[in-house]
Amino acid sequence: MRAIFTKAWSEVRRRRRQSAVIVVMVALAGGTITLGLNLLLESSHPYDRAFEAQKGAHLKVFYDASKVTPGELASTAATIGAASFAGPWPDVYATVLHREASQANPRYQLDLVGRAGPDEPVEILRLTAGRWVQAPGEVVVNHSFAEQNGVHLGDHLISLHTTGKPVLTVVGEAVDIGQTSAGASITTTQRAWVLPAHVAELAGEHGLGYQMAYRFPLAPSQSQLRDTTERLRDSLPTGAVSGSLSHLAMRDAYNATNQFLLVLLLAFGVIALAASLATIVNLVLGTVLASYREIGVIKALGFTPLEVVATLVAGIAIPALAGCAVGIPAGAALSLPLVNQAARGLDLPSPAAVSPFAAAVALASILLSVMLAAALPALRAGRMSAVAAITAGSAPRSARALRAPRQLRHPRLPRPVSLGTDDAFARPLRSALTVLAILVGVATIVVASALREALPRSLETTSRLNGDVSVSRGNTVSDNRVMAILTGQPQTQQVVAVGRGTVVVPGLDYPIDSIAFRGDPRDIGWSATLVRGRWLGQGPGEVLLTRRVLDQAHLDVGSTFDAVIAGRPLRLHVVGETGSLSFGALLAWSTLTTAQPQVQPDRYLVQLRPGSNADGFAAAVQAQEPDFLTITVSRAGLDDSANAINTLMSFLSVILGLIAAVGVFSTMLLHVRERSRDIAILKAVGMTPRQLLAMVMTCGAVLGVVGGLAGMLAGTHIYRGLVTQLAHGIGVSPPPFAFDVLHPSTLYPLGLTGLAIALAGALLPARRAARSRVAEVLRSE
Amino acid sequence: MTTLVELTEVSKRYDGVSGRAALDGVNLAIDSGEFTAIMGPSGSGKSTLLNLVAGVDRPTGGRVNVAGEELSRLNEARLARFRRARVGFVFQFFNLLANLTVLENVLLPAQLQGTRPAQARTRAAELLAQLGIADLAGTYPARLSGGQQQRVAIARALINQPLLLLADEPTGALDTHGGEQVMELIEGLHRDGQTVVLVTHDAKLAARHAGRVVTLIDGHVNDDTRLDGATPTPHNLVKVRIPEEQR
Repeated sequence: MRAIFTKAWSEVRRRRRQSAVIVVMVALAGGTITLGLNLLLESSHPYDRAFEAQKGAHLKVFYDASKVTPGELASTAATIGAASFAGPWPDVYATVLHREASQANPRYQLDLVGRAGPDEPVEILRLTAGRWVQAPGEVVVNHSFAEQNGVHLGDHLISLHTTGKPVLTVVGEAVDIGQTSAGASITTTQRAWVLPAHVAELAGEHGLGYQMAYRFPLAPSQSQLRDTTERLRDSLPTGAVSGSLSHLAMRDAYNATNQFLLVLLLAFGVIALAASLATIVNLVLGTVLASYREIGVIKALGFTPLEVVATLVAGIAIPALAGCAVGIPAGAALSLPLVNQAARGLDLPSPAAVSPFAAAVALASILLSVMLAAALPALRAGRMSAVAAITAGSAPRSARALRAPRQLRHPRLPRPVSLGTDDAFARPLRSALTVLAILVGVATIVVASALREALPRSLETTSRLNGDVSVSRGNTVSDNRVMAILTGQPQTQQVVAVGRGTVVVPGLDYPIDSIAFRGDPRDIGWSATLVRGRWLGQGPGEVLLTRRVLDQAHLDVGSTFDAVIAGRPLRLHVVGETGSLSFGALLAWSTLTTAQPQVQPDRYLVQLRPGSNADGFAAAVQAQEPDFLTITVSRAGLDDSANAINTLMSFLSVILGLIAAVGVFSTMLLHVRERSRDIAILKAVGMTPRQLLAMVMTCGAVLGVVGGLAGMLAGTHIYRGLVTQLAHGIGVSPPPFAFDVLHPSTLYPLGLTGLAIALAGALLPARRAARSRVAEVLRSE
Repeated sequence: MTTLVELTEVSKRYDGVSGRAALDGVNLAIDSGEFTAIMGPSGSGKSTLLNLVAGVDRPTGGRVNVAGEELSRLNEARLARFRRARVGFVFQFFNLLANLTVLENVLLPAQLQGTRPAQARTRAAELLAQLGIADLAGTYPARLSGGQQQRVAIARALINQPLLLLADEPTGALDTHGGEQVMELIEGLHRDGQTVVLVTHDAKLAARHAGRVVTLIDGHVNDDTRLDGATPTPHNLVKVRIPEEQR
C-alpha cells in the first residue's frame, strides 16, 4: 500500500503541470456540477416544494360577510373534511395611493386582509423584510408587489375609498405562496395585511368579506375541489360564497409564467454536468495513456496488475480530490446568489442554503468519473507484459492514426499547417471530446446572446400592449366620463377600451378569460400577438384563440364553434391564433355586446401622439378624477425573472467557455507531450519555432472551427427549442420576432468564439513546443 | 581544402557551471570532403559534439563555426533555417515521423525550405532510386525494416543537398548486414564529394570507412588520426599533433 501511494505521489509531483491542469479542470468542473445540480434542484417542482414548506391552502374561499358569520365559517372545515384550516380573515378591496412613488399616479387595487400574525395552521407567510403589523395604521405588503412597484419599508399607502383617507405605513414584506406575481394574473389584486380589527374601519361602506384557507389530507383534484366548493355553498346561506381559488390554478399559472426559467435551469444544469464530465474524462484518458511507459517500468519492478491499476488511479485521484476541495465549495458559494436570484425570478422564498446533497453528488460523480476514466485504460495496461507496456509507451505512433481529409491537406497549404491539421484528426476520441467541450461553450454563448437580445424586445412588446398609458376605472366613474377625459387631452392619439368576460368553449373543463376591444388595438402593438390568420373584423362573431385553447378544444383557424358568453350561446368563427399570454380569447367589442349588451369597458389603453410626455398626460388625467382612476404609465424594463435569466446565462457562458478553453489547453498539452519526439525531429530537420507554433495552433484551430460551427448550429437549435418549449408551455406559439435575433450578422461572430477559445487554449502548449530543446528530447530517447 | 567545421575551445556542461562537462575545451577542424569518424566510450561526448555541430544544441563555452556561420550568434529560427539548408542529420533510431509516408518524410525538409513542390519531388525520387527504396515511397515507416528506415532517413538528410552529413551511430540499431549496407551507402556518398561526420563506437567500422578518426574521452579529444593508404590499419595511421594540454 505504501509503495502504491509513494509511486502515485511521485507521479503527481513529477507531472506537476499535468497535475495542476487536473486540479484546475476538476475545480472548474466541480464548481459547475455543483451549480448545475443546485439549479436542477431549484427547477424541480419549485412551486410544490415552496407550497408544502409554507403549508399552502389547497382551497381558498371568499365569503360575503353580510351573509355569513365567523362562527358559521369556523365549522366549514369539518363540513368539507379539511385536515386543517385558517381564518376567517376579514378582508376588503381598497384602492390605495402610494405617496412616495417615483412615478406619477401610483394607485393600486389591494385586497387588505386582517391577520394577527404570519404563522397560521394554513398559508404561512414568510417575512422577507421588516416585521408584522402591531398597530392600526400599519400594513405588510406582498414581496412581489413591493418589488414591482418600488414600495419600500416606511412608505405610505393612502386608502382612497375610506372616509378620511387613512394612511397605512408599510412595516413589512412577505411572500405569500398563495399569490406569487404569477398569481396576480389570476386574482388581479395583490394582497396586503393589516390587523383584523382594522379591516372593518378600512372597509367603511364598502363590502366586507371573509377568507378561509383549507388544507386536506391529500392534495385534491380539480373535480374534488369543485365538489367541495359545491358542498360549502349548499351548507351556507345563499350567496355566502362569493368566490374560490384552488392551488391547482395557482400552480399552473406559476409554472406557465416561469416555464422559461425552469426549462433554462434544467437544460443548462444538465449541459454543464455533461460538458464538465466529458472534459474530465478526456483529460484523464490522455494522462493515463501517456503513462504506459511508466506502467511497464513498475511492472518490471514487481507491481502486480492490480497494484498498477491502483497506482494509476491514485495518481489521478489525488489531484482530483484537491480540485474537488477547491471547486465544490466554490461552486456551492457561487450557487447561492444564483439560486437566490432564480428564486426571486421565480417569486419564491430564497433558500437559506444550497443543498449539501448537490455537493455530495458532485463529489461522487467527479471521483467516479475520474477513477473510471483512469481505471479502464489502466486495466488494459495492467494486463500487458512489462515489455509490451514499455514498447507501447515508447514506440512511435502507429501509422493507422487518422489523417485529415485530403481536401485539408492541399499541397499549397504551408507544411506546418497541413501537419497541424493532420494532428487534429490523429486521435479521434480525444479530439471529439475536445470539440464537444468547445461546442457546449459556444452553444451557451449563442443562447445567452440571443436571450439577451430577445428578452428586452419581448418585454417591450408586452409592455406596448398596454399602450403608452393605461387607465382603470372603478364603478364610481362612468365609461362616458372616462372617454371624455381621455379624448379631451391634446396628447391623446387613440384610445382603445377593453372589457373582459369569460367564454365557455366546448371541450374545455373551464371557461377561458377573454378580452374584447372597443377600437382597433393593432396600432398599439397587438398586431405583434397575431401568430396566424388575420385580425378581428368589426362585425360580431369572430374570435382569436391561443394555441392552448385551439389544441384542447380541437379547433383551428377557420373553425366555427358554439360558445357561451355570460350564459348566452353565440356562434364564433376562429379567424386567427393569438400569442396573448394573459387571455385565452380575443373578441371584438361587437361580439361581447351581442352576449352582454350592458357590458362596459373597465380599462382604457391610450396611445399618445409622438413626443408626448406620458407622466404629464397621466398627471393631467389624474387631476380630473383624483380618486377613482388608476393610471399606469407603461415602462419597459427587465423584471426579476429576466434578470435571473441574463445573470444565469452570462455566468454559464463564462464558466463553460472557460472549461472549453482549459479542455483545449489540456488536450494540446498532452498532444505536445506525446509528440515531443516528433517535435524534436521536426526541429532537427529545420522547422523554425514559428513554424512549430503555427503547427500546434493549427491543430487547436481546427478543433475550434469544428466546435464553433457545431456550437453555433447547436445553440441556434437549443434557442429555438427553448423558445418554442416556453411558448407551448404557456399555451401559445412563439411570436415571429423571437427568432429574428438569430441573424447571420450576430451568429457568425459568435461562431468565431469557438476559434478564439481554442486558440487561447492552444497558445501556451504551442509556445512550449516551440521552445523545446531538440538535444534534450532526443538525448532522453 | 577549405575548413567546413571548426570548433574552438568548445565546452558543454549540463546542470549549470558546476555540472558535468560533456565536452571540455575541444578544438577540432574538419575540412570539406573529409569523412571523419568520432569515436569514444559511452559518455565521452560524441553525440554532444555532433549536436553542437548540427546546431541542435548550444555550447556552454567556445565557438562552433560551420560553413562560415558562427552558430552561437544564430537564434533558434536562424539555426533551424541553417540546419535544413546546410546540414543533414541521420539518427541512430532513424527518427522518421510515423504518420507520414516514406516520400512525405523525405520531402519534409524541402517543404520547410520552401522548395518548389515539383522540384522537391524530382529530387526525392532521385534519392529514393539512388538508395534503392523507390518502391517504398507510399509506405509508412512502421512497415519497413531497420535498414530500409535508415535509408529513408539518409534520403531525408540529403534532400536539400547539405554541405555536411552528420550521422549519429547510424548502424547502432541495425543488424550486421543492414549496418554494412548503410555504411556502404554513406561511403558512396563520401566518394561523390559529401563531407561526412559519423559518430560510432565501432573501431572496425571507423577504420574501414573513415579517412580520419577523432577519439574523445571524458569530453576531451584524446586522439586525432588520419588514416592513409589502401589498407587502413592502425600501422598506417598518421598522427596529427595534439596540443599538450589536450592529452
